[in-house]
Amino acid sequence: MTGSEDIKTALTLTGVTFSYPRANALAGIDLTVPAGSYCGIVGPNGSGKTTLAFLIAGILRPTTGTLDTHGLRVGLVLSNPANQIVSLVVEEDIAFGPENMGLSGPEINARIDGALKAIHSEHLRKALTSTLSGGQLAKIAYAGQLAMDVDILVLDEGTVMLDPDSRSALLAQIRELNEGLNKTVVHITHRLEDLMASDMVLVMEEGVIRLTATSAIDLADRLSREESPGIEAGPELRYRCLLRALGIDDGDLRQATALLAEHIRASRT
Amino acid sequence: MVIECIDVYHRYEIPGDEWALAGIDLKIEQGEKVTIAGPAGSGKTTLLQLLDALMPPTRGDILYDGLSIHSLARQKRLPSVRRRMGVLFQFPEEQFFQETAYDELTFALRNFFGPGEVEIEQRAFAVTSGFNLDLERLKTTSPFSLSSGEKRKLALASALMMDPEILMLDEPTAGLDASGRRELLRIISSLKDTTVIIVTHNQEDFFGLTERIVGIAQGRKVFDGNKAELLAGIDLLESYHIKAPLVLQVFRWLRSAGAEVDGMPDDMEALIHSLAAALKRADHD
Repeated sequence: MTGSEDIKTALTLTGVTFSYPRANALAGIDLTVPAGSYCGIVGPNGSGKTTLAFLIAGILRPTTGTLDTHGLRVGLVLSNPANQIVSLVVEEDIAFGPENMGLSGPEINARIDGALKAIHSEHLRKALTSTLSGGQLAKIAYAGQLAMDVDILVLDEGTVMLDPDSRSALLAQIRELNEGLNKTVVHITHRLEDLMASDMVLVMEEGVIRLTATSAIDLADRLSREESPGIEAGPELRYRCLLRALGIDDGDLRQATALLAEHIRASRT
Repeated sequence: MVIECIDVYHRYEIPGDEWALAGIDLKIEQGEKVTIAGPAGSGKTTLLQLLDALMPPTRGDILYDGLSIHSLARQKRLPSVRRRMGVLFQFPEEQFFQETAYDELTFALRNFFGPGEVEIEQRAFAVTSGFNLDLERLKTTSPFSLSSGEKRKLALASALMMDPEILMLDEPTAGLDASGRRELLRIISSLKDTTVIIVTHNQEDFFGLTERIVGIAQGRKVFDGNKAELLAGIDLLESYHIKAPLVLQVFRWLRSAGAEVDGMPDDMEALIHSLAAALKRADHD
């Protein structure tokens, strides 16, 4: 690629289909994801999201069509991160990938340090994986991918069983990996509210991309007008849509609500 | 059946472990709908296991219609109360093991009570009639090939086959998409006489469904009240990392800013509806 005006591309899918022996999962996906972007994918259960994640990660190959990762490394974190933790001790778990890449001892050590630092969990280096919470396990799974120096992180759900505090902490972590470390993130979820930080959002339905939007709130706005059975904006985005329609764009919901209250009070006098 | 926890303490037999539950007093009447909310590790799942009489508490007592769990355990009569309760633990579909969805649905009834096949089928028909599950299809379908929403419904239906007086659900909507969640909530809200106890860290889904909210944090009961009391207790709960539903939070902010909407809304959709109406009135005036 030449010329500074070129925006590098992380992922290019052209006419990608995928069929399992008894079912068609993807029916023609065209998608370009710029490097360094945060791409969110939402859709009901069974819409083909996980199949797409497996294709991007190279676990499955397209039945027809082409998928190009432009020489970049792709890492996948499964919907239940506990399923991909392979060691009893955190540092050994993170070392698993680099060891299998044939790296030297000092290099592996440096990678463990770097990965733990990126997820602000240096203190967990010697911890037993069996003692970690769901949110911590997810972060360790991210660290395992970072230690393999992946450029593209594919995250399949991951917030389902987390309580609200752990969920926001994990979402902040994802955002930081994207913005701070410039990782391309492909984040699959059925909660649109998880995707507040993404800069493109795709809606999958029955194996195709049915809608694309530039942000979660834009998508929420469209969903409030056209019903999509498998996707909901969720309470926060629904509320933010109402505020935005009144020209209230304040990020802090409490302050935004105070402005809304002024609108209502003004109407009563 | 009335369940009553009296000063319940529970500790797992792991050396050095703290109390998982400490000093829980909780009485739940027949037919009540209760949400038990708490952050991860708060002890809410332990409480559910105790309420379900899976194990007696380390200290304190649990009464089932006045009968002590300890004396029931001594007399080996715990199954007699357990049989009157149905429980769905997290991701219940992971416990499926039968060849057909119908066998899954009828397994417990067939094995515990052993009625004839005609009676089992009648019961299955009655239970699933409001579920949008086709009984004939279930007979020829593997439970594993159902959609995730259908799997969760099948698990709930299996529990209801036993006609429990008390239904306990641990994170019943986790992992379901919007239509699966709506469908499940619709079914739960149709259970009028059954006691429903929902354990969750996400109250948002159940705010319209339950009248009473119990907050658990660090093994202790830190809140027990109705929605009006929850409104007053938002900050207290927040200090224990228990997040009130956003709709209630917004309702409170509006009220404190002098712009109250009529009546407490059941969910965000209802609140947005009232707000839209209030703003529309403004346009007309």
